[in-house]
Amino acid sequence: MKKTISRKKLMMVGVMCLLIVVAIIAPVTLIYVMDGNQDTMVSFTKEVTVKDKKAEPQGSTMELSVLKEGTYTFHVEWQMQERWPSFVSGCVVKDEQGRSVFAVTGDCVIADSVEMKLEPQTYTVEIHYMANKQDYLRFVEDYLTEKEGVKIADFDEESVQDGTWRMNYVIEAQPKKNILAGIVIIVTLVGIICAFVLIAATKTDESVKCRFDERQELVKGRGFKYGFFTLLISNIITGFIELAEFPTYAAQPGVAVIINCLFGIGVYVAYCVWNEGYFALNENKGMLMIIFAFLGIFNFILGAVNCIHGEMLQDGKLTYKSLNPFCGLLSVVLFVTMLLKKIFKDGKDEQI
Amino acid sequence: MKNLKLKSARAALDLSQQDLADKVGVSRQTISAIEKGDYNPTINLCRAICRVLGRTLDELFGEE
Repeated sequence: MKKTISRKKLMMVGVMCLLIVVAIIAPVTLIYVMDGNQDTMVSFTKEVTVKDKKAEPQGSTMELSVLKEGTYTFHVEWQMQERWPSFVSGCVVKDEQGRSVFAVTGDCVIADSVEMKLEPQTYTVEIHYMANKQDYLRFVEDYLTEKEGVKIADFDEESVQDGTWRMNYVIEAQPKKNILAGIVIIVTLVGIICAFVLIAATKTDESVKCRFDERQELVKGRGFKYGFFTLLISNIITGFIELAEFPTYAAQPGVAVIINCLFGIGVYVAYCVWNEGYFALNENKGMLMIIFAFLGIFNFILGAVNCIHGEMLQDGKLTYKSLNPFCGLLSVVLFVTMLLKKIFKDGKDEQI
Repeated sequence: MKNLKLKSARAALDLSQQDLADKVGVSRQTISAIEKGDYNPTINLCRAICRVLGRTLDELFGEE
C-alpha cells in the first residue's frame, strides 16, 4: 500500500515537472519564433574570373533588411570552394544614406564587427572583388583607413593568377542575444534538474537508479557494441566523403558527426528495445513513453519552425538547426521498434 | 534447447512467468528466454530460480 502511494506521488512530481518544462519552454520558443525575423542574412555563391589582374565581375550588391531597432553585430565570412582565390574580397555594409557602417577585407574571412546600434532600414551590402593593388588600395582608403589600430595587409600583386574561383559569402546582422542566451541557460539548468526528478519519478520503487537483470545488461552491452560500430563506420564514411570533396555531401562537417552519433544511438535503442533490454525492471514504461512522445513532438515542432525560417539548409547543406527532427526520429525509432516487436515477436512469446 | 524442467517446475507451483520473474528479480522476458533456451543464465540466477522453486540445480539445469 505504501509503495502505491509513493508511486503516485512520484508520478505527480513527474507530471508537474513536465508542465513546468512546457511552461518555460513554450514562451522561449515563442520568443525565438517571433525573434526569427531579426536575424537577417545574405548568403550566396559567386564565380569570379580573374584575367590580366582584373576581376570579373568587379562586385556584387545585395540588400540586408533590419526590421527591428537594436544592438547588432555583423558576422561575415567567405570561403573558397575548391582552391585559394587569386583575388581579395572586400565587404562594406552601407546604410540608406550611403555611409559605411562596417567594412572588412581579405582572401578568406571569418569576422565579426563590434556591437552597434542599427535602425530599422535596408542596408546595402557591397562585395568588391579586387585583383590588383590599385582597386585594393582604393577600397582600403575609402572604407578602412578611418579606423585607428586597423592593420592593413599588403597586396601582393605578383601572386595574382588568371583563373576562375567559386566563393561562398555569408553576411549576417546578428541581434544581441544576451537575454535569450540567459533564458536558454536557465531553461537548460531547469531541464537538467527536471531530468533528474523525472528519472526518479519514472521508477516504480524508491530507487533512483535503473535496475536491469543480467540478460538485459548483456543486451545493452551488445546494443552498445552495434551502436558504437555504426557510429565508427558512419564517421569513417563521412570523413572519406568529406576528404574526397564529394559533390553531393549534404551536411556541414560538425552536423554530420552529430547525425552519425544519433544514428548510432538509434541502432542502440532499436536493438535494446527489440531484445527487451531498454526499459529497466523498476521503470514505469507508460510514463517513459509519454516523455519520449513529448520530446519527439517537441523536436519535430522545433524542426518545423527552423524549416519555416529556412534555417535547415545553408548552401544546400544541413545546418545544426536541422538536428531537431533527427532527435525526434529517435523517438520514432523507439515507437516503431516497439510496435514491430508487438506485431512480430510478442505474439509468439508464451506468457503462461 | 528448451528447458522443459524449469517450465514444469514453475507450472507445478502454479506460478506464471511474471510471478517467477518478480520473485527472482528479473524480467519476464528473461524467464521466457531461459525456458525457450535462448539465454543461458549465470550460476547466480540459476541458484535464485532453484531457491524460489524449491529444486536443486541438477533437477532444473542438469543435463538430461
